[in-house]
Amino acid sequence: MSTSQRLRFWIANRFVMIVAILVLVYLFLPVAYTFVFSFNNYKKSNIQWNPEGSPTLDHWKNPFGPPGIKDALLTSLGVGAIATLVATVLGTLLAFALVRHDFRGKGAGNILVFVPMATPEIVLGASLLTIFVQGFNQVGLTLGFWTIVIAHIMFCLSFVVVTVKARLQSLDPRLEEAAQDLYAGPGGTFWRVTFPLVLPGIVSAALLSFSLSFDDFIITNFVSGDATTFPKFVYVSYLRGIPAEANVIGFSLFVIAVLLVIAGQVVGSRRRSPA
Amino acid sequence: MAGFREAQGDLVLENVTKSFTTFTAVDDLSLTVPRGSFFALLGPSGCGKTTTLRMVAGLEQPTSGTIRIGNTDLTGSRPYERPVNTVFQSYALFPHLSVRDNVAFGPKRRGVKDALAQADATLSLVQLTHLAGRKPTQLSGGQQQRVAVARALVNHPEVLLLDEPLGALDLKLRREMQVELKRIQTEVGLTFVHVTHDQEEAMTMADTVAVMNLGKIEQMGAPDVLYDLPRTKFVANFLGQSNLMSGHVDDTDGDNVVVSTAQHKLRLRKSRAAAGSGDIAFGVRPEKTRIHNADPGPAAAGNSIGPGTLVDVSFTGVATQYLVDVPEAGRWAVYEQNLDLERIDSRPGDTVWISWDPGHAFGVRP
Repeated sequence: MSTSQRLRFWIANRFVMIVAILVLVYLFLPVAYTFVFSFNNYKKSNIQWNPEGSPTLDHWKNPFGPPGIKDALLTSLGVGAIATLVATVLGTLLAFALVRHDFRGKGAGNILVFVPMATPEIVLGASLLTIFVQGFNQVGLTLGFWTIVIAHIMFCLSFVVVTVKARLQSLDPRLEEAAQDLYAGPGGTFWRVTFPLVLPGIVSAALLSFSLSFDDFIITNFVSGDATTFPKFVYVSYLRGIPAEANVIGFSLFVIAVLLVIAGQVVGSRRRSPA
Repeated sequence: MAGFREAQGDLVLENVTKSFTTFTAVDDLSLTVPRGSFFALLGPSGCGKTTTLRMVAGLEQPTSGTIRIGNTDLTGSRPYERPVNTVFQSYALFPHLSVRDNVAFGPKRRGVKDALAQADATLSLVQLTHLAGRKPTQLSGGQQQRVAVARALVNHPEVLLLDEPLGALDLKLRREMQVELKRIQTEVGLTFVHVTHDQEEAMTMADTVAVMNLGKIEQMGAPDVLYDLPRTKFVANFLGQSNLMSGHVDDTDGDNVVVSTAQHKLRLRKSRAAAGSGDIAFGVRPEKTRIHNADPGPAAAGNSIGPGTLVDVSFTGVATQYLVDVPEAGRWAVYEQNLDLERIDSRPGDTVWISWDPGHAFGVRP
């Protein structure tokens, strides 16, 4: 076998693996950039690596150094928490109504729930701004924290409904019949059987809501007024140079998200393995 | 446990009808299941047997009619108010609970103090003590089935309902579970109502079998009586196999009626004929018939047909099955046990006659 043939076989045998590695590199390059540049000992702008200064831990030691970054993070966490809570509760109730009850306009409701997901964010943002300025100003509401919360609840709701609905539809209706047959009344059936079985869907809906809310920039930018969320802070500071502390916080959030996913997997597999 | 109805006695359904928007699933059904008996509702899918069961469980409400246990009217009460438990077709075990917690679910809801101890006792009855800590998904089909039985039995219901509980099991396991269920029923002495489309299962296990078709009970009785003397064409064909041909009662001969078919005049005991005159379907079970290479002669007159053409012979070990085309009588099946050392050497195409013992023939409404 000639060398060139050997090389061809070597590549052919590992083709999928090579492609997979390249795709992973492509996916993780931005994260790696964020991580590496959080150690940049830069002078003016964190866009370029400073070859003179040695890498520094300064930004990690004091991530809330730059003015406004702490407030922005707290605003984002606050908006995310409230929007997630309200959207999860309302969305779960709506999902139950759409799956379990028959009422006029149920079919239309099922379709309309998808509309906010399909609407471009820029359209939602612009129209929400109009509503807030035209309508809500009249009752004394100004753009700020609570308008962001209202907007975020609105776009998170659809995702919660879709996620919980899917879980609820996959639930065997005979399980609830069995519970009733075993002397559980409507309340007992719901809390002992239905709710525990739908809970994983509700939890993933909540996690999804939080990450959507935390990530959102476009709609937030329209309706936030003077309030600043973390994405908005990063965007605004881009004009004068993003501080490396933003990289520290961004990368930390990435790590927290990964840990949450791993924790979810571990809990899930424990549930399935022998007690 | 507000509203729970204590009740003891026979399960009685009176003129029960269940109509859905497009069809009537159960049509004016009345039946009594004696306390402590093993009762089977047998029928093809869509005959209304499962709907009947669900009405007894309270998962459906009848359109009209009443359902009682003893003197207590259960009509209109909710499933959790009835002293009735169900073993569901797909078991419907709670996937998020352990086997022990599944079994303890009913006692806990009823506020029984030693719910877990009762669960353990019932698990030992179905021989699953060693798996009490597992989740249902970690069990085999047969084990899940026994958990479902235990989960219902632990409540000591007045009536235990079984909705095709063995349908998902393979043949060998099904036979084992039939014996097991029968043992448990004898041991606990509860009323079992078993819904199935498997006639062999119904006959092996039940004291009384009710054959259902199109929302009505066609015939009800002990399995051997039902098999020996079917009263309708449907029962004759659904419960085992039957050779049937249509005829007309036009004479009597002592204790017998004479049935005229296109080619033959056949004798039938009066007590075994569904009608004393007019049209009738004459039937004999395949295993009650014998095959002959020559005309059995006047001795068998009235208890034999032929000549016919043998179309198929299949040797099954215990028996040999013959299929015979008899002019004007259709295709008849004959099962002969392989008792003789010298077997009749017949091949497809041969001309044969079929005979039977006169006591084995029956006549059903056409």
